Amino acid sequence: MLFAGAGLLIGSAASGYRFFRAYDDGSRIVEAERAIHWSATSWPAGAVQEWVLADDPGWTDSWVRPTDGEMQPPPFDSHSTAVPFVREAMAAWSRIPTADIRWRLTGVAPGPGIEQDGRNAITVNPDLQGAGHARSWFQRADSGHPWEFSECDIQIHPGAAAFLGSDDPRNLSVVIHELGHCLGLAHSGRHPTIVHTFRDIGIWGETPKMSYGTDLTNALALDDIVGASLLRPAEGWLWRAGAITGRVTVSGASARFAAVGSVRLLAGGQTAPGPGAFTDEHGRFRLKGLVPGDYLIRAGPITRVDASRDLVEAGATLEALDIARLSPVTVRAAQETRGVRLELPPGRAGSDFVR
Amino acid sequence: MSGFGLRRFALPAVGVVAVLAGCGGAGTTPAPPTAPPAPLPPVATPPVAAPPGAAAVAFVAASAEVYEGDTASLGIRYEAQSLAVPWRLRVSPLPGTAQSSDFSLPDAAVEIPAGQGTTGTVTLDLVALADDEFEEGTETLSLRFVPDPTVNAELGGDLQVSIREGGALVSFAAGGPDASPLEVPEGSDAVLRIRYEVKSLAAPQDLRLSPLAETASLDDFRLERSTVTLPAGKAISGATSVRLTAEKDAHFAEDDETGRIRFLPAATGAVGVRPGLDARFVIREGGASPCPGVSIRALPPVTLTPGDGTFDEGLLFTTLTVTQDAPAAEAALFQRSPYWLNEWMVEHGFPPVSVLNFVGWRVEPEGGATRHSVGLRWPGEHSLVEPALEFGFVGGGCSGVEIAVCSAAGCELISDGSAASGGGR
Repeated sequence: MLFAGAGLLIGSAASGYRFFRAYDDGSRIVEAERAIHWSATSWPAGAVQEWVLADDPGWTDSWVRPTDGEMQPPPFDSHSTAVPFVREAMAAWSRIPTADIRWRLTGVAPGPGIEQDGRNAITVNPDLQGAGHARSWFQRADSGHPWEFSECDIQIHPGAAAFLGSDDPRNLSVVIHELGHCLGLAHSGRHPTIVHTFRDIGIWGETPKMSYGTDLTNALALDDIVGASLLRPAEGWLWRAGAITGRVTVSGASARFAAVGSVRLLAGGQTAPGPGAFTDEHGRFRLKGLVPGDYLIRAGPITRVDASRDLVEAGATLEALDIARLSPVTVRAAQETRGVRLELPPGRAGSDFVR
Repeated sequence: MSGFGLRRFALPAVGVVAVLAGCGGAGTTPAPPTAPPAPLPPVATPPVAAPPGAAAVAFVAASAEVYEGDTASLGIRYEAQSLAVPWRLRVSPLPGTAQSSDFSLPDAAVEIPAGQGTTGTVTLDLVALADDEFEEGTETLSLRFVPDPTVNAELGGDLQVSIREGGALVSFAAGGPDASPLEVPEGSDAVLRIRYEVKSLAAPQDLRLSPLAETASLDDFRLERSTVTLPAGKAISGATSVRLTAEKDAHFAEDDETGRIRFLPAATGAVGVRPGLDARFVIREGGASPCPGVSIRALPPVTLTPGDGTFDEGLLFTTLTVTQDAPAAEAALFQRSPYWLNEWMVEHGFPPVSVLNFVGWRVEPEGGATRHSVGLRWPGEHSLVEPALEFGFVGGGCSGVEIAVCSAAGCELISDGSAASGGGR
């Protein structure tokens, strides 16, 4: 028996990669093996997945800006002028060398954008609440089997479409984010500090495109790259990567759904951003997809609760301090370094300030 | 009874030699010189003034030395051949390189007692004054008997007096503008070496060692002792030392601190002691240790100005250095502040979010330890309530009780019993 369903993967433009779970039970934090994947028939490994740009009028109509009600010029002169921008957003994912992501935007096509019609489409919807969302259709053979993607459509607000066609260094961010959902990436954790306050990324690296963080560029963060690579690994990559596992606690109790991040140590004392993951209901984490080497590990509560509402409602630990372990953890290819323990001191008092 | 031997005076004076020449050869004990007959006073004519008489006087030595600050008692031998009354013999100083300000004669005369054929020695005091401000070398003067027309006196030659530098010189090895300041790492000590040259001290002299704070405060250091004693004696050179300890404090983001040590007279004074220039020292910041195996230090936080970046006004920046030894291998750094929370966030269930940016992190070996150099930036002066940077350490023997606090005023380690303890890997 074939069951089918539809999931609304809301996003817009928030560390740690995260997946949609393929089974109804079990932890909310799943590893790639228990995440929703594309079915072998819909998008087999090594295959190219095709997309179309729906020819709805939203691409070329004037639109009303929600913030002030003022009429705005059309995002694009024609549908075809939008195509290169969407292709560039797709290329951001396709260029990941450690992932098997082959996408092709075939062009503009008539017909509705958001509809289970066997094609993956991107469209513009002036009535959309938010900047964009991805809607995926998934199915499973029966209740004992995992859910699998069969189709994904993306709709964006005209404002996001106009932003897409701008020369802003972050112009592709919304579409990249929604495409990430279509790959199977859930909202990740954001950069642990307010980057826009500093105009400086710092050592934790670019805030993930899959988060509700503040983008500074169109570049994917390591969390995006590693998450996508774990879902659709390039041939042999998993054998070259290592993992760290451990547990995060607060006053001895499990730190639920805490963000665990990493910084990779380079030669000469330099450091580089590393990927992150989330703890599960028991405070356990498995940070995978690490280039062999030495890593500093940090942990702290999730802070962008609107991007992770399900985790907050499931009792995410929020009242704890951020922490960074001083001694590096060594990662070896195709091996798992186990037993890393982080104890978060309780408390988290904030003060308002004006800039 | 042996005669009055003028040879024992060893006078080089020509006049005396002439007397000796008329009394006998060398190697013999000369007979007392024959005094010329006293002139008979006119009959019924009373004496006019000073008693007539005859005598011979001479300085016991042809030359003498005296140190500044000392008093020399100069011997004068006399032979009162015929003195009816005591004779007040005056002595006059003849200037040399010594000036009148360099010495004094409390009484520029001696009294030769009356007598017939009596001999003896009297003394004349000369005080070498020690009021020089700087070393001026040996100074000289001569003393000469002043002829007295009332006495038929045979006067010996001049006495050459040398006034030598007296007192003592004392100096620091680290003193003077050209000397390198003594470096003292905070929490340790260093030896302050003192050299002295005692030229002449009649009694031991105490000098105070006065600490002068510059950028250092008087709480930042202490001296092992507050006085140094110069020994009594003449022509003595030596050295001594005092240990200077730079106190460990809770501040860990200070610039190097400077100070001086100065010689000052003790309460009883220090006559004739010439002190050298101040000793300069610099206390090198030594950081702080929040728990065993972890030491921290930081550069003084600076407020970034618009010229430093694009949007950096009001942000504070420091570089934190954490040195982690083996006992603290499992230690972790936690951020207690700053976090940001406003009303909107409260309304929507958001937890406070960090507003501390780790702009850089270097990890390097340092001996058997690991050194972390972390660049930190956080909001500063534009805040209604300045959110100070607060962090601590847990795990690896660290309890999190010691909290490091940094603000525009600096960085300090404080104790906070409310902090939680933590585990390790």
